[in-house]
Amino acid sequence: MTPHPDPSLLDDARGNPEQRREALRHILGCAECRARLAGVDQSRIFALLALSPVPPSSLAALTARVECALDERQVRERVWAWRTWAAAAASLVLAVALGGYAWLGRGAHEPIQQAALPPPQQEQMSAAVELLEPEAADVVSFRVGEVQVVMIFDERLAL
Amino acid sequence: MQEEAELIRAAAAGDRRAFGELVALKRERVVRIAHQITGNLDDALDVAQAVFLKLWGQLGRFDPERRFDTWLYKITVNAAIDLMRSPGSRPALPLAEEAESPAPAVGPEASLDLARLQRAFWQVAQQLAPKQRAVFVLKEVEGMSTAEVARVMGVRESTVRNHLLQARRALRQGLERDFPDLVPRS
Repeated sequence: MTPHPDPSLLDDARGNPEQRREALRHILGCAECRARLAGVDQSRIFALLALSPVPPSSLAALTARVECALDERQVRERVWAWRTWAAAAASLVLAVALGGYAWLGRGAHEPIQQAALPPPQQEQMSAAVELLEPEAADVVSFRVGEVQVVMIFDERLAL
Repeated sequence: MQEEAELIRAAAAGDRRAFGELVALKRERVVRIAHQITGNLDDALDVAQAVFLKLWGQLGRFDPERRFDTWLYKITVNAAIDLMRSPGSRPALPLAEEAESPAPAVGPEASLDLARLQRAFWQVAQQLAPKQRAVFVLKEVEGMSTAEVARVMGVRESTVRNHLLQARRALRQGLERDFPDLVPRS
């Protein structure tokens, strides 16, 4: 039996943790010391809860859970890193493609020049004038919905 | 202690093996503190897991000039109090009842049953606010100094003394009322 420890040994910084545990082990098994401790303050008896053992299997399970969670986190971080790089690479390719397209198509937005149509020839002009004479041509006229279609058949018209 | 500082430094640099050793070194006390605050081993293990994962994520930012244990227990207490306040926390269950291994040998004259003491604590500690309970656990059960408890809780020492005073009074009254035979008279 170890000598009865002074209850003050349990107080602030009066002993190192191992000394404190040693004192608690003694108090747990010594009714006289428990009475002295409770004499200071009954609630101090709960200091003995420091001796409550944590099941070793629970501690081992905790370590396994932490390891497993860290492994999962590392996998997630790798996937995230891969996605980030893939997104960056895709952005780069897209930027190059758009740049190339813009470079190749530079000037594409310049105003389109009207195709220069040759002025009508004299005989075409006269045919058009003659066309105004209804008896000189076959004219077919019909409507498609809102659109009035007029077809003129005249061999003199060589537009 | 030098070895612990080396482990912390190596783990902060990303060494998983060193971190595993650090977990093995600290896990029992982290679980015990979390259990005394939450009252349930499963909750305590959830808290401890969250604490160590957070630790792994933040270890790189740890200031070596500060005390590692204070930082670790601060994370633990905050996580345990958060869990206690959440609606999903489980009912209290003594560690000594959940343990498959026997309590430490204390000699043939041992008469105090730790599981019974734990049950008594949980019954009478129900009326304590989470912070009062945390202060009592750190100070009385874990044997920390008032200054260290104040650092862990992030409050002034006077606040610690105030919480402790109220907790002791409530526990004393609870013991006298519900467990008069638990505490021997001198």
